[in-house]
Amino acid sequence: MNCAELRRYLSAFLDSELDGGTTAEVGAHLDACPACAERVEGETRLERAIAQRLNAEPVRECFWEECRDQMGRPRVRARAWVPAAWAASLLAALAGGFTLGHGAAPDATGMESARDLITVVREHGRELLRTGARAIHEYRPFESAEQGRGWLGRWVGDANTHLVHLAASIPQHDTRLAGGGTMLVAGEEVPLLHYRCCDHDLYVVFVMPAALSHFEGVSRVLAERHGVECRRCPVSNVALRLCPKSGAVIAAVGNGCAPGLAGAIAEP
Amino acid sequence: MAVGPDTRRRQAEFMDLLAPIRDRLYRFALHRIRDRSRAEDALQDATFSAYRRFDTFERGTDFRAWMYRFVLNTVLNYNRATRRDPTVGVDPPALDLHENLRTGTAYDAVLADPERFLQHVGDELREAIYDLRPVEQDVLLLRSLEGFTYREIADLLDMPIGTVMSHLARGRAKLREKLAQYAEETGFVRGGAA
Repeated sequence: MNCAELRRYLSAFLDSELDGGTTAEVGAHLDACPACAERVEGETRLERAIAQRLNAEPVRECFWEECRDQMGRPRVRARAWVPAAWAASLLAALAGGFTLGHGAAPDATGMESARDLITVVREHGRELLRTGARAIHEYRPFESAEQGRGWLGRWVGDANTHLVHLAASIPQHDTRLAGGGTMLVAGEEVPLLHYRCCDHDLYVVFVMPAALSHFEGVSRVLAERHGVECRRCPVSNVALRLCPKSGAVIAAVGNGCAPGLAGAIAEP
Repeated sequence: MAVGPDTRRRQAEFMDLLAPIRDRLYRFALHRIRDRSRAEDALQDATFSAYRRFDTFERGTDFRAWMYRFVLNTVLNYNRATRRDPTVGVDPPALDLHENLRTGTAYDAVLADPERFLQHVGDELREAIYDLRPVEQDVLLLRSLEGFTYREIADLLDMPIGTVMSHLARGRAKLREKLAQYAEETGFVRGGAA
């Protein structure tokens, strides 16, 4: 066997799928040819390293529990997409809702709070969005992505770090940190991170647990009335709205077993 | 609606068989569909389909292979719906992984330290796999990620072993060309930083 012949057998050799005779021939050539031996060793390590890299994608923990729960039942699928403009209103509403609801006691079901929030979306969302520039007048850009991430970790803890990592780790789209700073929400200075994602600007705003009591009602109303699919993240207890095109997080609400809440939105 | 003991037992048996492979099923679906949300939908559909036909599974045979058939079919349907898996002609067979790779290039540096190289590679690895033909993605993932034998892949995809080998070698060769190109562009060199 020569070097060219070995290369033709290399793929099957890496998989241990050659018959005994051919394997022996390959082995004999490798003993006599250090260059091929080095290549084969490199290829073996490359195959292993690729497999390890591809293996690093966990499914969310509750997925299989949901499968079991729904097994045998007719499936209801949420509508797939929210228009960007509506989503933008939602961001404004979330920010407004936090402001309005800050410190308020939740009702028993969360539904009334949710209705309040939807009202805010309808009546004030665009206005909030239009005047949003004023709301972030104290926006102070981070000097670097590292500074932003460090700031994020200190202020809101693991939950939202997980959320951001989730957004950034979803394949087939380009989510990247474009900037960040702080803004005032309910009189509190909170972090704001700016991502570019799926041809949208994605703003992730973090507020404190006192404003997080709306989650159940919000997610239910969003699903029932607007077809917005909220997914509950088992790690952060945050409901995520995922962009079906890119898989990116475009909206999120949560009621925080972990400190902090993310409200994220795509801006048209 | 109340769930009877037979149904509960059947569900439990199904989930027990699924448990050792379920994360792998998800990863396969994710790599083939590329979108986390849709991959979950596809996997859920495949799981439900399999569960509905669980009575046809012969106890004692390979549950993993049986389950992958549902996942493969569902992924194919999902990607057809979004035209991600177009029907294309057959590439000429290629069994030489290095046919288009010159020696003395950055790819030599990759092979000298593949683990370090992959630390520098981000989504380019996934992108390179996504750029393969669908059948090449299938055989590559089933072999390199899932560890199926050529015979098992041939059975799953209903094609001769020789065709499996050809698709696999072709997919690997293309993947290596992409990695070599990336190494070249980023200046990855043997023993140094990228």
